[in-house]
Amino acid sequence: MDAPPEIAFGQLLIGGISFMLLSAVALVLFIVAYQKRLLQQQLQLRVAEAEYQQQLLSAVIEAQEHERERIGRDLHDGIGSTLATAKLLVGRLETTSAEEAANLTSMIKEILGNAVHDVRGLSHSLYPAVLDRFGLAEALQHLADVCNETSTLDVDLAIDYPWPLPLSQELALYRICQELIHNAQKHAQGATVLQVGLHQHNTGLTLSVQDDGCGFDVAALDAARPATGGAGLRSIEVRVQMLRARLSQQSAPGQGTRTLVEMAPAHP
Amino acid sequence: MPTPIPLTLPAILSYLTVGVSVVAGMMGLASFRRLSTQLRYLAALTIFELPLEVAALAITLVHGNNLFLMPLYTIGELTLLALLYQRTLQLHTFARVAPWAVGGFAVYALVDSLVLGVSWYRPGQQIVQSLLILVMVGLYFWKLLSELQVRYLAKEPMFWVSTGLLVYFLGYLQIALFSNYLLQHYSLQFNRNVWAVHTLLSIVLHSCYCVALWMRPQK
Repeated sequence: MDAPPEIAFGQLLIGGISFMLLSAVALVLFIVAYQKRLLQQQLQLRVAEAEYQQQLLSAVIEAQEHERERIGRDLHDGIGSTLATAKLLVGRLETTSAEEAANLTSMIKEILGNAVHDVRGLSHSLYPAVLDRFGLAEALQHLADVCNETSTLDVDLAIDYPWPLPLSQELALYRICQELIHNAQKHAQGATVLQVGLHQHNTGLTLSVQDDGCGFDVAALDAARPATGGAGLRSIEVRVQMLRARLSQQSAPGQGTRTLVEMAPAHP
Repeated sequence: MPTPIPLTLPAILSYLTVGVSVVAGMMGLASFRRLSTQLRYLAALTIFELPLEVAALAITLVHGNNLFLMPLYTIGELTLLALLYQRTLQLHTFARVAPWAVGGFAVYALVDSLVLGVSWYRPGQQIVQSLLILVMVGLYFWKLLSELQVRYLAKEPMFWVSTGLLVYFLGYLQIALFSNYLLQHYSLQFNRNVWAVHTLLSIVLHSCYCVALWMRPQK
């Protein structure tokens, strides 16, 4: 038997209203669940950011401590012992003959000359006066010269830097370069040449440091970095962040390492 | 003397609706001072609805036609809800568009009612009002998810208000759409049963208003 039209329409209408109400409830439940998920994601992101900031802070403090330790060691072992030797020799001057005194005096002069050289070196490592006086290009050239004198790894420098940046940015770039050269000298076993390039163009500035040493597995290093520290690399990251630049590193075992810092132009 | 309305389920639900509206109105009056500026618009809405609901019930009890109250109720409700959402959303575009939308709707509702008579049910007004309110609710939920400023939704008064409005107007849309057709083609009892669903939705909506007015907003 057919249902009366009123009942059939009633069922249809109530069905339609029920569907709309169920849709409303489903929408509200979806909003509640989705909002909870988004909040959790936001919280995780904040925790990760806080952890990263904490790591950066630790890296900065660690780098400062390392630097102080190095300066202390340099003062104690280098300049300190040199001056102590000079003092001893000056003490001997009073009791020696004129001929021996002349020899001692020349020795003392040589020792004091070395001490002055050490002080200059230390002073330059603390604050590169060349950078302040002559700019980044000259400072990098000086850095390359010093490295070529003191290390077996040859530094090949290529600079195209027509528009000087503010001193704070130049100092950050210099420190990054200094750290990368130091890293290469320390870790790039078997490397024969270190190519350092500073290129400035309309689309920004790139600083590249490339060696032909043993290289490393980037993924493995990334995985191990939180445990092993990597203060040097993290201090580079801090400076890269300060410059609002981008840091990328390419390496593979046996194929050397290339580190690139790319900086957008200050006025787009 | 008018014959009393029999105490059927639809009639009980009607009384209950008025009861919940009275409670919401009283809560609005009692909590008006301690509420934020935004929620004061909600309190104003419940206070505004209170005499209209009571008047509508009183007219029904004497078997009169209370449909002339509808345009007033609809325009007032939309205006206060637009002000409430304008304060909540803080969107520049919404603040610019809302007065025009509400003003346009008020003109349309008044012309529609005056031209065709105030004692007839006008589904067009109800549908347009429902759609405008659903848009405001949709904007609120969009902002809620995009800004993530609210941590606990259950403690957010505007979430309760929006949920109540969503449930009420999504359900009411179809009743409004078919109301005149139902009146013309189906029995009075059937119509009463359908409107009983509306009263249930109204109870849900006013309960949500009560929850929103009761709770302290999150800091």
